[in-house]
Amino acid sequence: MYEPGLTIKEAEEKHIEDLVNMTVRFYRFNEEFDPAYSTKPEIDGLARAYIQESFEKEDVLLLVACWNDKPVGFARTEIRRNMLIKNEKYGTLIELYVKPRYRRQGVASKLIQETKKKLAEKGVYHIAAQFPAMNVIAERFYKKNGFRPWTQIFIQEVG
Amino acid sequence: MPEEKKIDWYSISEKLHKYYGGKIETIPKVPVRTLNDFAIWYTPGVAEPSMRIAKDPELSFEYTSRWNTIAIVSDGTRVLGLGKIGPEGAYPVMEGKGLIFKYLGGVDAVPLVHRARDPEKFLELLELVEPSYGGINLEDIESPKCFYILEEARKRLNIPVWHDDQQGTAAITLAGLINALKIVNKDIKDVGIALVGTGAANVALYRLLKAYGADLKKITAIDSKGVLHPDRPDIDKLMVSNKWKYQIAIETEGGGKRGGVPEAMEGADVVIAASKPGPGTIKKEWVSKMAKDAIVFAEANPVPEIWPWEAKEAGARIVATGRSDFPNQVNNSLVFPGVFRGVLNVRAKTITDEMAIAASLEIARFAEEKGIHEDYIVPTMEEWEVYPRVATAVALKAIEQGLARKVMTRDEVYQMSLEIIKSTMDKYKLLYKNGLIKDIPKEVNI
Repeated sequence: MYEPGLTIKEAEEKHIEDLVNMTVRFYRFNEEFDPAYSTKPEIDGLARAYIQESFEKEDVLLLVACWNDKPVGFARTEIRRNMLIKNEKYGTLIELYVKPRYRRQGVASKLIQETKKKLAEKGVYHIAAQFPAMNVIAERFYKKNGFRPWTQIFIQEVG
Repeated sequence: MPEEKKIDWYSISEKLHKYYGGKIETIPKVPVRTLNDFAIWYTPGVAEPSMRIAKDPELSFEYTSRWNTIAIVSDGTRVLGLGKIGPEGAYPVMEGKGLIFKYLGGVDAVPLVHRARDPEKFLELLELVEPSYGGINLEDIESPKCFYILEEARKRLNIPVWHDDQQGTAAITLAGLINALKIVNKDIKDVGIALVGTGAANVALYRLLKAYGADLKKITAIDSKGVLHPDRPDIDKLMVSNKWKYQIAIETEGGGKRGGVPEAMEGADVVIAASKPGPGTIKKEWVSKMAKDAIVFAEANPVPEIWPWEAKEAGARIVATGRSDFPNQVNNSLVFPGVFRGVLNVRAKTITDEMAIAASLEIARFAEEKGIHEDYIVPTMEEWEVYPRVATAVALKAIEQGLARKVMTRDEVYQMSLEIIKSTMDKYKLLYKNGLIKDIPKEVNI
């Protein structure tokens, strides 16, 4: 069914091409911020498997934003658990991407709103977002959307 | 085919800079009849204006030379085509600018070169020295840092801030384009424009074109990696590293084109190159594939992206360059003296893009009145009458936009500008004629 305007929905098989393309762009972008984000040369094929797997996993939420039925953005959230914490389940936005020409129109915010709704339905209490520490645009965006700094992840090379 | 002139400007310039020990100096403008007069100009008398200014800092524009003094500020990170040559290396350029400011605009402009390369430090420096000046002319700062510094400085300072490599070049280019379009009888809304190079000048020109009414979907901007468009692989990176180029990519969508300079130029009515010195940066065959009555601006210095005769042979109807030895010199010096004369006269708080466009329109009108044709789309620097005209147009726009601290009529601004510019020239001529400014020594053969 053709749906005009902006719609946010759970991703379907027909969105795979666009999802793979956007996932690759997302990771290539993150690469800019830290060498620890360096991607493999065969990222395109791997991204396909990665997205495919996401369809099958219960604890992954994959939402797609469509403009006139064409995918223009997506959000992939993993539901994680920590049994020692009172609200043990929390969703973490691992990938969030909107195609450049559809930015600044609230698409990403709508993706987050919808993700929150779906998480709540699954009994999840918190939503978190992960992004490169140097990505100030992402930092500004999440703060504007009501997120607060919660946990910090530091990194170093082992060898 | 014209050959490059054989005059060795570099060697002559080196000798004369040393001979004169720089190019500008301060000279008193008040009478000192006897040394007792220092009691007026200095202590004890000076305490009175000082006290008044202390109570109302705005009075510094009334009681001191601040109203007519600007700083020419550079960190020396992109000097001419020489690159990062440091603040001391930038000084002669800033001083030269100061000379032009005074000579053509009657503006007292002093170099302020510094070591603050970090943009935040640079901005802090501007805020700290703001009380000394009536305006700031930024100069020779690398891109994209220069965009951020200009944007922020405009917000943080209450005096006009101008970055000549952006706004000056963009304003004179727009002036030339306005007249070129009149000659070929095309409308700005209909023309396809290729912007070759997305440094300071073309990014600023894009902003002016947008404000002037160009169709953004017909603009194709090209950087070293090709056409800027939203699907470019590095587009997300650009969002972070150069949001100005990112914005152009999004808004123009590449003007519907993909590829590089040749693809962008194909069918275009106008190409404006502010990129790498040529020759051969733009090729003849690319010009030959442009639309009929093509307009080619090749602004790189010292050698334009394509020689004017080559562009003409390839079918261009109007060609402009940055050089004074070819017709249609796109020269910032036609803009900045008048712009600052205007804003200083009415004590404008800032210089908006609309004010820059007002300068472009006035320059275009001036040339049109004299009679425009393929080889005369902008005035030359010798036509000094253009400066008070530009000053008036800019000042009136500042008043119209509610950005002027002093409201004056058109005639008042014009007369004030004319008087300052003329009296500066008269003073200078007097000093020179009387040998107080020494003539160029005979051994320097020029």
